[in-house]
Amino acid sequence: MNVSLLISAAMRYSAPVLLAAVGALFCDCAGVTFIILEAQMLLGCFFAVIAGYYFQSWAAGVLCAILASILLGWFFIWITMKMKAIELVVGFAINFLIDGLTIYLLRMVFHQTGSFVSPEIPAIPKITVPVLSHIPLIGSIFYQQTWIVYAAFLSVLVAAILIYHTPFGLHILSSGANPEAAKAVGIDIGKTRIKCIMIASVLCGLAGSQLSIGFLSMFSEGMTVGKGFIALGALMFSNRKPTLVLFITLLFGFAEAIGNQVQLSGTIASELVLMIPYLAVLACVFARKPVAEQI
Amino acid sequence: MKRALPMILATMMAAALCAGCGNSSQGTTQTQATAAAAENAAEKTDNTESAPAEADAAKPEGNLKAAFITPQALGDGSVTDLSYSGFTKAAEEYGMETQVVEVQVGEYEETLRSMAQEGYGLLVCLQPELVDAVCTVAPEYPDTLFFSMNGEINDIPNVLGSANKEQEGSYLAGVTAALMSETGKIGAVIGQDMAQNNRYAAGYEDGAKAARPDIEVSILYAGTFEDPAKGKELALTLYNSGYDVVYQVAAKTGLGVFEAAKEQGEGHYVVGCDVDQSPLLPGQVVGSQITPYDTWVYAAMKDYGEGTFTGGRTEAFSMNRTDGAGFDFDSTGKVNYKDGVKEAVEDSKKKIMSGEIVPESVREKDK
Repeated sequence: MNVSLLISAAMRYSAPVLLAAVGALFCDCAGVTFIILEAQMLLGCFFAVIAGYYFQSWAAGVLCAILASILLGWFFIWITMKMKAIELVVGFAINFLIDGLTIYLLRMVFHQTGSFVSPEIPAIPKITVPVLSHIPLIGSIFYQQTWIVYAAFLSVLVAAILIYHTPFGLHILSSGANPEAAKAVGIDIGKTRIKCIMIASVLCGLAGSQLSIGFLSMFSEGMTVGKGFIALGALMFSNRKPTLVLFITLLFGFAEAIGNQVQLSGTIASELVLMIPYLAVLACVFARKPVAEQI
Repeated sequence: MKRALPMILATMMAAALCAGCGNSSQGTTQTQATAAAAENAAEKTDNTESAPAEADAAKPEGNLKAAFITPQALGDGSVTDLSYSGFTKAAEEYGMETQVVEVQVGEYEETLRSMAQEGYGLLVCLQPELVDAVCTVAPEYPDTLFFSMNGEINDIPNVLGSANKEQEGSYLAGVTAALMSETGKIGAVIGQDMAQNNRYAAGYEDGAKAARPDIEVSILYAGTFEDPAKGKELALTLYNSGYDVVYQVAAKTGLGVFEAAKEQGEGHYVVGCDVDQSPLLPGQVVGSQITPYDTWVYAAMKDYGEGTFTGGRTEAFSMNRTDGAGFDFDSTGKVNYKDGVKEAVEDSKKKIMSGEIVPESVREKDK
């Protein structure tokens, strides 16, 4: 078992999921049913590649990914808050919409089907923290990851402080826990929720760009393969605690990474190995306290 | 008026929906390529009418009309385009009138029926997705011929199925990989743990062990064809554990393998799948398994054109049937092949075609 590879693979898998989960955490605490994480990530993936390719700069790619994600967030806000549509329904619709839209745009812009690979797509440079990466075993945490991966783990800390230790955080929590009371006290729920959705959009845009030009340097149709929904799952098991969000996301990340290593050792049948991440989800379900006991 | 407006809008929407769901054969894409092919076919009709010399009683009377029906759009640069090139080649040679339809899920049967009704003599239906529709529609039109590309259909007299003998090209891939490997360890990233995919793996392992008995082969399954990140992680796992050649059999997931090889640098090789993938990573692709879909479609079209089409079975397109196509070396010229590698591959190829070597099609673990 190659422990250093295990750790860096787990981090690489967890990072986009974590970013999306933290974004969803903000929204969930504010009382927004925000399930368009998958769509925002996919949109982010696509625009990171387009902008990166045309401007020959990964920074332009990341920026465009975030902008596209924010635009989609605004669309969501307009439809749910202005037009008063149901968030869950709109969420599902947007997920389908963006899946199709990215495929359509891929054909329109690049005249490609399936995927777009080109040596001209820039990749986000990988950073190795000088001293820390030499620590035996866990040093691989700091070895050759993009800044977005590090940012993902930092975002958990920022979220924990922001939500549970600042006035803004209190606004968020009260908007979600008891909107009527919050309104009575004078908190602008609409603005708070908009801010949370914007935070989530930025984080998802980052997640998308990490996926397409951070780890890889290509776009492939549907390349997020459900990571947005895994993030939602992690959120649901976390009881709105940032530390649990981090723990569960890392659990899923390690489950995937361990699966790869176990396959290499050839000891267990591949079908069983590929089940490991899903077994991790089931474990979370059973480890959770029954709903009635949760507050 | 306020009440009427929503009703009017709803009716307009419903009308638009119905228009979209109408008879799909005429409305769907007729690509420029098809228009060009049709023009060429019309021009060449005069020249080619005398070409098929045999006066065969079974030869179709009148105009030859063939349709190309695919669930994956043209322009993919691989399977669909390759099949189409075989289609157009035969269409030009035999002066056939052609039509291309890119079908959506749910329209398969309607499309096949309308093509048959319009008098198309041969319907070339791509991919296993269309197999069910072909099985349903073909018996209804016994005078129309159907060719299922990559679909295994037996016992329907007017249907010819086709199957790949992936293990043959993969055997040669295994020989190349084993001989090019410096570390004595080679791997593969396979899409799904299923019979068809495992034929690639089985042939690869067989060829590798034959070329180098002490070679260590590791086969990893991704579980998906859509996840390049997973493919890259699996390839990294292999490369970081000393495996220096990785065979990718995983479509989009496999693209991740090229990324991993690029990141790891020189000395880390990839073997491509289905088409020549050496331009994707010049200097690091030691070869690609080839599935000559164009030859398959051409063969079926040719049989139709000459009246020798025999259905009711599945044709296994072995190397013998495809003029030895099954594996290509690097085409960019940037790979330094070790002495004897190419000769060993040629030798194995001859033996496969003569029947002396029969590559494994089932992995040890599945026997």
